[in-house]
Amino acid sequence: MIKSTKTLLACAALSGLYAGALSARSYGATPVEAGSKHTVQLADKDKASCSGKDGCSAKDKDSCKGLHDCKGKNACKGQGGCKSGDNGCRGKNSCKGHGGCSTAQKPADHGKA
Amino acid sequence: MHAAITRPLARGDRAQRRWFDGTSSDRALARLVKPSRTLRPVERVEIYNRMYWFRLLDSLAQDFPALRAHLGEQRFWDLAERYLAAHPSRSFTLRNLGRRLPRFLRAHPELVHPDGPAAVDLARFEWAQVVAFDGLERPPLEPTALAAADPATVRIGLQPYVTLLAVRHPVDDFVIRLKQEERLRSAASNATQETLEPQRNHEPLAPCPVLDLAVHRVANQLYYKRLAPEAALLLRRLRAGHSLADACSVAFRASRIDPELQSQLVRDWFSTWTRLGWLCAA
Repeated sequence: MIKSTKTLLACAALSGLYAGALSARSYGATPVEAGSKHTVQLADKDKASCSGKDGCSAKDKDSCKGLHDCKGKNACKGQGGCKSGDNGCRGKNSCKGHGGCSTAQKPADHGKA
Repeated sequence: MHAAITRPLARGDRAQRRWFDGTSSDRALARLVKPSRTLRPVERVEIYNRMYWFRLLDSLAQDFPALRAHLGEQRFWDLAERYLAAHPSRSFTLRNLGRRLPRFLRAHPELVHPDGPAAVDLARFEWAQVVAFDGLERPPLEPTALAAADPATVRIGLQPYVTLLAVRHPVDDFVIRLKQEERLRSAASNATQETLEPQRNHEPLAPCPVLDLAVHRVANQLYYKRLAPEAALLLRRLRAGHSLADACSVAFRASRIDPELQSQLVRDWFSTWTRLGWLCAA
């Protein structure tokens, strides 16, 4: 590819970048139309990992709302507040001997209790 | 004590009955833990030993639901146990627990035979979602910072939370389909979430031509986006530190796209990527 074509493409890229920045500003706080042709939403992973689970409800309802605050800072996930196991009682003293909580959801273990 | 609690479980998900030196765990733990009224020392420690391992297994299952659905329960849990035995948690956060799973699957295809390649693609796709979920975000690129830049030499970076994947299975469609099925099942049932195990999907994930995907986030929601091969190549070049001009030229080197259309495409791509917030300073 000759140099002028390379530069032409780079100029096109920069003009797109400017156009995108202007467009994003005109949308205000919404940088992109979610669900538009630009992008396809995956699972509501952030919601699913939080709502209705013991780790959130047991501590503070606001810990769910605050989930998004820690995104992008690398140290959010797995610290407990929003990522409890699906079965809150699993492995805890309170369930010992009750049967239903004593094993992981493994098929081999089902029916043991 | 730490070693006793974090040891892999033995058969039947019980604490190992032998201590590290081959002697009885019961005897060894009696030196560290008093018996309770009803439990021997090893039984008391076993509560925490099991809690620790079930927590790790839960965490892995939570980060790889599509892989779990694809493999089925038994194979997924067997895989998870083998993986955790090989790569135990070494971080303060469970966020990093599944980081090596794609590589582990590549190294041990026998664990997921005959679904090895599809399983690797699914694991990569789901790990990319972990990265997109809470990966580092750099300040977005300010066009004013490029006002005086030379188009031939300027370099542009890609946000660390954006993962570019080239997969050989339509994992994106698979995950979306799975989510739709889950929503349908949730809507059709009053059962609690706890009783809803992921549906086992026995349909093989058929191979497809190479599919370029970007997994990213917008307004704190996860998304994926299919990319044209040229766009994916361009982004990879930018991430690798190439100049904008070089990245653009390499992207179209083997392309059949009409040269007259290339500029328009590049302009559209950069406009979209800027709006999505993918670009940052190199």
